[in-house]
Amino acid sequence: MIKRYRDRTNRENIQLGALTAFSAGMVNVVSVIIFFAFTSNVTGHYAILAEEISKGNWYEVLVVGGWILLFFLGNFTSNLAVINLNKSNAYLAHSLPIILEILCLLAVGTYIQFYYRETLFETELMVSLMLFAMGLQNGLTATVSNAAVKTTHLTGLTTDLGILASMFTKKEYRERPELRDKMRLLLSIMVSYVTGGVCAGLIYLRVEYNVFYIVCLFLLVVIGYDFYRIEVANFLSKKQPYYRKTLKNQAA
Amino acid sequence: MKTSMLYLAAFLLFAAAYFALLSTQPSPQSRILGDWKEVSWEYEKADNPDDGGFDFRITDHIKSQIAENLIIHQAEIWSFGADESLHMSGKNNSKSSRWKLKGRGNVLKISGAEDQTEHYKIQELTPSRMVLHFNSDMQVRGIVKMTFEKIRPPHHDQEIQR
Repeated sequence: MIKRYRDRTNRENIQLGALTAFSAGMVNVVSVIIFFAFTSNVTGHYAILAEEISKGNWYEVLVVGGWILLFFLGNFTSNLAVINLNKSNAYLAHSLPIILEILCLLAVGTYIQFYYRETLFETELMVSLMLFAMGLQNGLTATVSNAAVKTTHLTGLTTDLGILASMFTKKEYRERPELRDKMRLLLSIMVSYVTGGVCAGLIYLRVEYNVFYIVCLFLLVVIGYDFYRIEVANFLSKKQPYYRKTLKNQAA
Repeated sequence: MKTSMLYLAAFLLFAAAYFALLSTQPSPQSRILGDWKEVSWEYEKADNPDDGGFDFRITDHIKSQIAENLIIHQAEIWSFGADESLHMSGKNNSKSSRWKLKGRGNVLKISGAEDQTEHYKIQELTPSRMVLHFNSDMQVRGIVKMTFEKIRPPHHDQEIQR
């Protein structure tokens, strides 16, 4: 799911987009409930940054600016891992950002469970870590899908949906498979993001900070799925000459 | 290799400058400490923008109704302690609760007795003035704006070091 194929199928993009958007929606809603700050959408933080600059609240400017930079750093790290490790170990290159994201979310969940005293400094630090995690995820999904999937970029997604919906008023566009595929992908991301948010809101009432562990489980499915596929493909290519031939034909 | 070192150096330099700057700025957690006196209660917006003569001030009677079930009921002086204690005193009563800041320091959480919790949006927080907004549950005009003036800064031993 997270492997970078030259020609990724739309089905793979939908799987990747839906699962990661679901987890991003969950993380965003939980962070708003616990910390009163968004962690998967950065557009709002730019607006807040501008507002705080205009008010001359320099401490808040630095905090919000730091959050934006950590989201940037998450994207940077993600792509850095892919472009540097891809040749030596493609699976590691693509799963490393998700592993880092899981570690960040586990750290936040565990800290809240055992140590969180609700001080402002702790809140700022937790939000920073979550923004970095969301940057990692967004950077990876955008990289592996050739920028087709951006799980936390709902502004761009809604823009694309609006444009596509207007294009579909004409039959010539409505019948083009690539545009229909794109519509399916965007809709699946949007629905997953909202569903993730709603689920997090409902689950939080019962399990509180354990939501973070549930998100980690979803992310484990993402990297586990690819691991399973690679292992199965390796096994089949080594042990089964018929499948090796089939796979070879498919690759060609 | 050279580019990597350049990136790393730029990052470290930036991070050092960032934290140096951050350490010079007082955080909202330290700015809020001390005693604050309620100056006014107002509606944040008028119902009708054409209503030029609208009186934004909230009368004592309405204020009492809005705040009847709130922790802040009849509070006039709010004393924020460094230990996150909040002492509120009025003409005839006083009560103690706990305070915390959320978000980037823009949300004030007040916890009273019996797990009662209220959230107020900090619209403005300067060394001498604080403006809080909150959504009243009553059928009044939505957001209420509370303005405070600082009447006593925190004691030196109370000040929070960030």
